[in-house]
Amino acid sequence: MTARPEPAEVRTEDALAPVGVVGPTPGASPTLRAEGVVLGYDGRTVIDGLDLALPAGRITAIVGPNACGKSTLLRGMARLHPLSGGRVLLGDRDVSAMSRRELARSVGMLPQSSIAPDGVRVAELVARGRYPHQGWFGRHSSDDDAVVASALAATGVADLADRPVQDLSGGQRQRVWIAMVLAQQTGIVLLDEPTTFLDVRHQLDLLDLLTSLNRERGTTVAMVLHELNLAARYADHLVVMNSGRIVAEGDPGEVLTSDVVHGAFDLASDVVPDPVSGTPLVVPRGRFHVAG
Amino acid sequence: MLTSPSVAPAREVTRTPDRARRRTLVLLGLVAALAATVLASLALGVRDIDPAVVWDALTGWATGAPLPDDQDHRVVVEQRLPRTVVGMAAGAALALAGTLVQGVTRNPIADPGLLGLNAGASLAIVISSVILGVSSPLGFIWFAFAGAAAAALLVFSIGAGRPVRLALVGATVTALLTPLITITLIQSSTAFNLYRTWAVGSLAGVRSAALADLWPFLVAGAVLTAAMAHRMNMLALGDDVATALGQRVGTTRVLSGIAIVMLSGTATALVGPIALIGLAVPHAARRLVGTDYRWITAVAFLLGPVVLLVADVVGRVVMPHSELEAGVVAAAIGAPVLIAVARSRSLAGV
Repeated sequence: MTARPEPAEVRTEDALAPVGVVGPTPGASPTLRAEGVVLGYDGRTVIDGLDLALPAGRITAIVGPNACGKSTLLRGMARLHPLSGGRVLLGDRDVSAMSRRELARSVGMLPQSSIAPDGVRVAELVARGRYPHQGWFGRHSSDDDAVVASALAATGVADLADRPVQDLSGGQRQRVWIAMVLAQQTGIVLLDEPTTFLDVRHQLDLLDLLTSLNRERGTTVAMVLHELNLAARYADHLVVMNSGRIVAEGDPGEVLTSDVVHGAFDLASDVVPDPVSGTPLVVPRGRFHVAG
Repeated sequence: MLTSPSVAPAREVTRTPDRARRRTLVLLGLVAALAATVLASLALGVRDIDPAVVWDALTGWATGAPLPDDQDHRVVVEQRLPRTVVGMAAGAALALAGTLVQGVTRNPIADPGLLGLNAGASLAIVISSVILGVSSPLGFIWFAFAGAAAAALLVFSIGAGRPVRLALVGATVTALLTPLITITLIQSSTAFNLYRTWAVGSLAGVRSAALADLWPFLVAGAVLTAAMAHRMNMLALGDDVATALGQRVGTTRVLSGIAIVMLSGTATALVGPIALIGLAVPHAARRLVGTDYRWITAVAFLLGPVVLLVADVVGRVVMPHSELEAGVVAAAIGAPVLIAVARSRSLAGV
């Protein structure tokens, strides 16, 4: 991934508050790994024995056609969906042997279905990310306040701290949710389709933000994405899935070929270098519009 | 660890002083309102008693002095004090149970009645009086409690913690039990008379002796509610987010269910099914202090008794030489509150 453009890098580093020396160094957080996991719904198996390791300190994107099991896999790794078989390891520990609270201090997860209660304010919502670090009545410490302020600043929503979440735009709201996950202070952050309801500019914004967090804090990021070209551009590690299996994984430049796209999506395409980033750019063919 | 240069204003960012002050003022105001309501409940009625006499009677009672042969003192100590204490306990219990039901189901129109508790309590009372010949309120309180618990258990076990399913099963159980109640009542006029006085929701004739038996349920339920308050904040973000934040959502639902049955079962047994307090008080609390369930719970705990006692006192004074049941007045007070909430945008704010 040497082809990243210089200007983008400079811009994101400018936009972020500097991180103190106490931030985790890349690769410091343990690796989250699925081993032979079996996942399904009501007896219907979706994933039957899958292995996946999320490289520590890197950005992983999982892509694949609808209903290929990519969200289910991510949910299984976050313990939001019960495993019917196999195990998920954090470092060398089986996560099913950890308490939920303990896991929540190491692995953050932003699911697709999140509800912002009407009237809740930005800072209030972000502060709820401190839950796994608090006692039973959720008493705030000055430490909590500092972490929340830092999360608000890092996601660029500090100015909105006192605004009701429902008054924000979709892009702002998604930043607030990410701030909440940041306030959880986990070395690993999983996101289930974080860009889905955003327009293209806000998709880029959000992926730039996640890239900054990854580079500046060494956070391991893994996300399910729909947009192949953005996934190829932003991921260090690309996982292509189909029918509950991994079709290909690795460096996007090597993984994303027209054969793989055809295998996963049953779609004919040309893959050309992205003129901006040099990463693979998938140009789908379809039945019409074929020149010469 | 995340650190940033903006550590200094952190406190300002996360806790606006204005809002904190407002919440404290609301609580202080409610404490004052509760004190005034208690005084009114002791002083007002068919026979109005001077507050100074009320005070004398109370202090005399508190110091254990023998009751003087004075009609006013007797009314205060023997009738109105127990009635007021029961009203406070039931009001707080109904409001806390309503807060929990709305939080745990994420359903803004939920109240304990939605979970079939009232129908269960009613059927148990009717059956106990028709089949077992129980005729005194003290006798049927335990049946009411058991009926409410049985109905809630049924609804929770089928509903399995899914908000929409809970509401559907609750409505089904209520629809199933109600005709059974009617059929049984038609068979027996004594049972009907007994049921009538209970079902309308009244503080008149309640025996503090019943509260003396049931208070441990209320205390345990209130403590459990306090322990659940912060969990409700996470649950409000959706089951997935709450789980990802490290909460065992199933445990929250089970413990909340236990608290709901203890609080609402006791209150319903004591004063009858007074629906609108459990529904309206949590909404009013949300209007006053926002979306944090720790504050909502504290406000509901104080506001519930105020509303129920006000309803009872109003019922005592609006009709000369007679009384209007608190359940009827509470409905008249609660309905406009709910309509005001419904007209504002905060209805979905659960």
